[in-house]
Amino acid sequence: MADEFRYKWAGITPEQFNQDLDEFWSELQRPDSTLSRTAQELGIDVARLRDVDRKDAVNVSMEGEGFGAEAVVIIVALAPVATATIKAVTPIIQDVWKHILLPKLLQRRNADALTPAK
Amino acid sequence: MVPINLPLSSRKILCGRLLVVEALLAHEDQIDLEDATAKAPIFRDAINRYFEAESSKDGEQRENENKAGQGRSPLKALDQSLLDAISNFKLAAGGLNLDSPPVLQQLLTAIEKSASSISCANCSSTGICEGISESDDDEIVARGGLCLAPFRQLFEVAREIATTYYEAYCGLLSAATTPQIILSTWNFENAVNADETIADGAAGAKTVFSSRNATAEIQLQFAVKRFSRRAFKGMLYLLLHECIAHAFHGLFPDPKNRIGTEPYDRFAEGWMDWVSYYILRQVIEGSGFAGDRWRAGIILPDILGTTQQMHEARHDASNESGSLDERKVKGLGQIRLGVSVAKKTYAFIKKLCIDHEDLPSDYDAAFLRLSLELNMLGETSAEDTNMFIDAMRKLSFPPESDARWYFIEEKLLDYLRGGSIDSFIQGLRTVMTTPPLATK
Repeated sequence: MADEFRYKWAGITPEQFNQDLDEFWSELQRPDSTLSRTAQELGIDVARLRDVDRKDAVNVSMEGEGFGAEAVVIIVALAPVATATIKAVTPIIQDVWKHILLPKLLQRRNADALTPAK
Repeated sequence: MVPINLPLSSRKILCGRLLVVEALLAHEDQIDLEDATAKAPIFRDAINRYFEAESSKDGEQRENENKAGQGRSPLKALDQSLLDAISNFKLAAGGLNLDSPPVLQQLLTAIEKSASSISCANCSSTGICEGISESDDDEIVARGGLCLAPFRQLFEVAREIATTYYEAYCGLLSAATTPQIILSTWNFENAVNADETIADGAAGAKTVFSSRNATAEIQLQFAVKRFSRRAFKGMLYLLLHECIAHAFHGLFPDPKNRIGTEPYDRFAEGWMDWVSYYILRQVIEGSGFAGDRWRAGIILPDILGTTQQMHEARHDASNESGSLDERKVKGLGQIRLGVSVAKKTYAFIKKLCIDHEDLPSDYDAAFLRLSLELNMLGETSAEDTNMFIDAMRKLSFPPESDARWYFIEEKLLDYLRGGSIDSFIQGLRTVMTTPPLATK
């Protein structure tokens, strides 16, 4: 796994986040989409991610149970599978997460949906 | 690049609340005259709930689509949502007795009239926001964005003021170092988390830089469900602070290498906040070099008073609002220091310019040139600007307090006589790293 980010629970389930990511990933797969154009303007070569499954690039899960939001942490894992294919595009996945996917999630779910957990 | 903006559902709430805010502002005197001061907030909260209800319906639609395994279909258009909210409010408003006092009915009429003037079909020629793809909606908002127009106009005024002042006073500005400043808008469910916030977290802003060019993105943050008159009145100050203190920061000589400042930076958040406030005061009063250029367009009542309160609250040691966030506690002292030294340095430069015939008589220009050039100077660390603040602070004490006083004054005089900001900072660095001589 390349990176793992931990966020406070904000009432949005991993399933909801992953569903959003599926939509954004699908949009990125289309060269004529707005998201693809954004990536291009940022100098991110998303064409190299065309054959990469979203789950192999970025996946959201949850840790912790119990009473109270403090017990639960949302985990975003980048490049969770260490295949040669994924390793080769990991820097692109990291850029896509930082400059495209994370901002789009925050736009859709509110900017305090993913607040870093300590 | 198309900036990110509030998604359609959030814009419905914000736009609705803005209609109410504008109506309240336009009828403030009438509300007080008719003794409706206590009833107006009840009216406001009641109608705002209907704008939120329209946004909730969007959420329910998405939930139902999800459960049915369907794709996202278009949400109700923003203009229709606004009108439906008002219509539903009117149907249910009997309990509010809007006929007494009459101003409440006038408020409703004003809100309805303003809502009717917002037409999604007229906003952009390429289609209306449907809430299916936020990116597609962002492109529409970038081309039109009637629903966010009041905020975009405030931003454009702030950007123009900042650019005009930097062009007038800052010798470091050139084609290579003039930033492209863009605006994005974000929604927070609760309070915003920017370093600069106003109106108890109802709005805030922060500036992020592109590492590839001279672009500065000002992220205007809203907690849309809390957007208020106070937040709207403070928005020009908020945006001007971002433009003046941050968007032009560190651009010279290479914009690509600039980095942001800490939220408790003495110079960026203290000194430059005072400069931003000072410039805004000139703009509102029409007393600066640009005269009345922007004054006619700033029509919000009591904006100077609100701005002054917000500026002073940022460095008020008795301000107990907000969380006891360690960063904020640490920052307050630094910001206060920066503001205090800025004011004292302004007074010191004024006296120098009056006492020395070979200095420019326009001490205002001299102080602004110093502030804006230092802010633009890249490769200047926080240690450097802290050192600058420390040096200027020494000038507010008697010369006998520290023998370096005369050397600091000498460096300042050299700068004011046309020296470069770079030489000035280097000179100060040399002086301040020399141990102070013992005073008798």
